[in-house]
Amino acid sequence: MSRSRRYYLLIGSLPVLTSPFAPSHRPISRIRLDGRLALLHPDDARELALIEGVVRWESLPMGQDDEVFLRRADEALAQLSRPNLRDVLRWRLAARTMLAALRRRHLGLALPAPPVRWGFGEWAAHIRRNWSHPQFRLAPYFPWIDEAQRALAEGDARALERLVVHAVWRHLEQAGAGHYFDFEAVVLYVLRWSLAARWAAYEPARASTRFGHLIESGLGRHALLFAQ
Amino acid sequence: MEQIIIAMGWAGLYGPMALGAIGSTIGCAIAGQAACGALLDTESGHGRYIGISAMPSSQTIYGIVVMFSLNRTVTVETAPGLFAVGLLTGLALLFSAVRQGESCASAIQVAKAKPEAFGLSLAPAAIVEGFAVFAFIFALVISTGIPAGTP
Repeated sequence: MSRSRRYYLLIGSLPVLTSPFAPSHRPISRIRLDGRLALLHPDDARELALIEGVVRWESLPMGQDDEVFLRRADEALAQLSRPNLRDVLRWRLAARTMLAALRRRHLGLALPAPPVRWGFGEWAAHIRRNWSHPQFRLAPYFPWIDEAQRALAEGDARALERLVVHAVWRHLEQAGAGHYFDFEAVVLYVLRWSLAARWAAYEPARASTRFGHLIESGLGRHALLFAQ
Repeated sequence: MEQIIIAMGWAGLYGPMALGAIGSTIGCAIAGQAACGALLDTESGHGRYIGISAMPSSQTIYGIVVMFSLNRTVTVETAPGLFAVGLLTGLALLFSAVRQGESCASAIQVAKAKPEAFGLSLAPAAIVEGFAVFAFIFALVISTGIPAGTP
């Protein structure tokens, strides 16, 4: 397999993504993106699917336990041929492990007792060892952990989500330095596209309307019970 | 042995042209693919994308001129000079064309994202072109030192 495979046509055809929060740069649809990704070599397409299978929440079945997910992540890491893409995936899994630990502590839950796996690799063990420390001694690796903790304590889910999206975006941009038309550039673009598409899907007005409809349909004929 | 030396002389004579053409082919293909991708993504400015993608073709022209300047009877006396100048000039043109193609592909990406930076985005490609011109000019200068060769 050629490591120097270049995707000039594919990268050239992808709209520029400047920021996950820029309303003027709405990402293209998944259908159109998949149409462009059809230009990938089959081996590269398989590797991209492996990464997306771990990273994209949409590809994770609801109700699946952590063990199954972590096994899937381990298998994906073992099959990836590019070391820098393995690093990107490891960082993402580490960030998720850290956030899961923060949420557990915020909810007053303890970590599952061994041998139950709840987090990724050495990071899970590190957090267990430093459970009593406010930032699990992870501030050097995740400088935004303090802010994440604050947003969680204040119940500001939107601020937390924004912070995580921004941090992941920054990490992907840094990982993309020196990669312009190669497979790594394609993968990093797709991962950034996922973030931008996810954020673009958060429409407060629409969510509020839908929530109202759900309330109405849930209450049904009891809606006017106390209005009389 | 003499035949090998003569063959190398011919390789040096045709080298700038052939290697320059190979470089231009690769460079134009690289920039051309990026330009075609940009056509899919944009609604305007198509002409300039295609225009940029043709930049690495100049190396072939330089190669042709160098080939004509080196053109003389290939003998045992002229062959070493022809081989050395021709091959090195050809390699310089080849690599500059390939790298210029990559620079042009990047310039197309920049022009897509920031049309106002279009002119500046071409600077790297222009600098690479400058090195190809150096190789071309000094090949012409140094070729005067190669014996004319008698049939």
